[in-house]
Amino acid sequence: MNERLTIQDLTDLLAAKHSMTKKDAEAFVKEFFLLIEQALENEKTVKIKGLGTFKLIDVDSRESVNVNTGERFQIKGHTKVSFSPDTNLRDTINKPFAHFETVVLNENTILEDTPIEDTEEEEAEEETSAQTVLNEVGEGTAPLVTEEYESTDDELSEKELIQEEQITAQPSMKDSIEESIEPSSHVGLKETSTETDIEEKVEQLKGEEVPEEEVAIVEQAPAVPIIEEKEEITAEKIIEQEPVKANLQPVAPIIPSAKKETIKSVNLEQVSQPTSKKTASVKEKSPVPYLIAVIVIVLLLCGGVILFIYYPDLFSSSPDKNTLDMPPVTTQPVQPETQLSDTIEQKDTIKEITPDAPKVVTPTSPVAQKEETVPAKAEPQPAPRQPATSVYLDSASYKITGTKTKYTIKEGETLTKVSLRFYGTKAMWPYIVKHNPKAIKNPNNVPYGTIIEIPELTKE
Amino acid sequence: MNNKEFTSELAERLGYTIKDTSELMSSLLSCMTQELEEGNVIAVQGFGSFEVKKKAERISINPASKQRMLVPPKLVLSYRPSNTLKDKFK
Repeated sequence: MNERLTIQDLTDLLAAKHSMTKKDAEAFVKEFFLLIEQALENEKTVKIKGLGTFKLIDVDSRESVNVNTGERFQIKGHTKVSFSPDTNLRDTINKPFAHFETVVLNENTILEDTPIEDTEEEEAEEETSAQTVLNEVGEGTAPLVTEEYESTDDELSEKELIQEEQITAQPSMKDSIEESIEPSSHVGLKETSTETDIEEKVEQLKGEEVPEEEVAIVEQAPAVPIIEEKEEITAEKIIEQEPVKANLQPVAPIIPSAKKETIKSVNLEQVSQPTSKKTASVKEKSPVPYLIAVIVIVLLLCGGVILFIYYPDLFSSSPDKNTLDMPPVTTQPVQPETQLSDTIEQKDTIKEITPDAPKVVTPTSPVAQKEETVPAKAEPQPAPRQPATSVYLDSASYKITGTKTKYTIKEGETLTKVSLRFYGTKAMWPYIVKHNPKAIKNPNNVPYGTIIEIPELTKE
Repeated sequence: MNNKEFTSELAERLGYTIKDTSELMSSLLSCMTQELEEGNVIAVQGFGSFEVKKKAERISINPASKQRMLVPPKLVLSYRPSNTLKDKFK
């Protein structure tokens, strides 16, 4: 590559090819080029097949400027030798790049090394790109703003949705219900702990106290049913499509002991309402919050159904133990409620039925009165709250003081069911495991027929 | 002067037959072409040099249709006359 060949090399190649002496070959090559030169001189053009065409071209005289001195001077006209290779030779030389073809460029294609491009085109392109960027930014910001509204006002949006549509009101209802329920449960704990004072409190609270009465009844109901009841209640409310405000108002009076907490929740709701009005225009445009609300409702309903399926024991086990005193109390409040409330009432009775029920009987009379005073809608709510609080609320705060009795686990029975049978709540099964380290090797799989000792639990 | 005249003139000067001269010419040019294809430079004393040069790709615009064309890179055989030859024709 890139060797510099001279006449000597050409003569060697030619001599080797034609078995002629180097002297003859050299003479031939020299005469060949000399003839080209002479022919150019005579006829100005020489065409050689397989090589190309040599031409003498006249160059006109022209003026130029001396770069160093700036003086003008004349370049005299002269002739120069030009050579254009033969097409065959040209193709063979260009063989390595023969596969390239000239391509017509589209207007939008931009190449890095394109000195030919006009600056105007570039500017125009830049402007267009900038505009597109701006458009993109605008599009991006608008959704961001809406998202911010949505994200910041999750709770508010739910409440607002409630206002806009009665059906969507469910989440807010649930929130308020839960809030109210929690305080009521606390009240129930206190009351149960100080059982002697319950009656007095009930009398004091008579005006509003449906929940308190129920709290007294609550004694040993498991926590799980409460949730179910809440959900069902919300569903009932939804079905009824009664205005949220109406429901909220009855709720507040129902829980006198927890008044402060409920009031706070109400205030929150009120605060949220004005904000919702402000953002109402924005929200109406975006269907997202509606979809979210619908999804939440569906999920809650599904959860309620699942709970009902997995914990049928809570509802089925109690009826045997129902005392005569219990049914009247429950039935009276139930009747005014809607069809759905009937099922809830049954659950309530179940909770009340739990073994330690005797204390409950006293509050029943005030309950009826209170229920009559309170609108029908409010009644279902208090009922579920009270049963939620059981005697064994906190499974961690009890001490094993002795063996209450012995029990043989039946087929299909689990420790949670045993706990439910003896303590009225499923949460106490760890104490059974702790009290029977030898009999129970794997708490998750206790074979039936195992004899376990039921511990006697006293509060610490 | 075309190829035929050139060959006859060359044969007359060297005393060869035209047939032999044309064979020698074709073989000489094939040798030159082969060397040039390999990228070698052929420099003939007093005449000039033949060299293969690479032309980079470029964009040309058709002045009539304003079409922009991307011309691919190519290899071109260039001839550069020697100074003595240039001076002779000047």
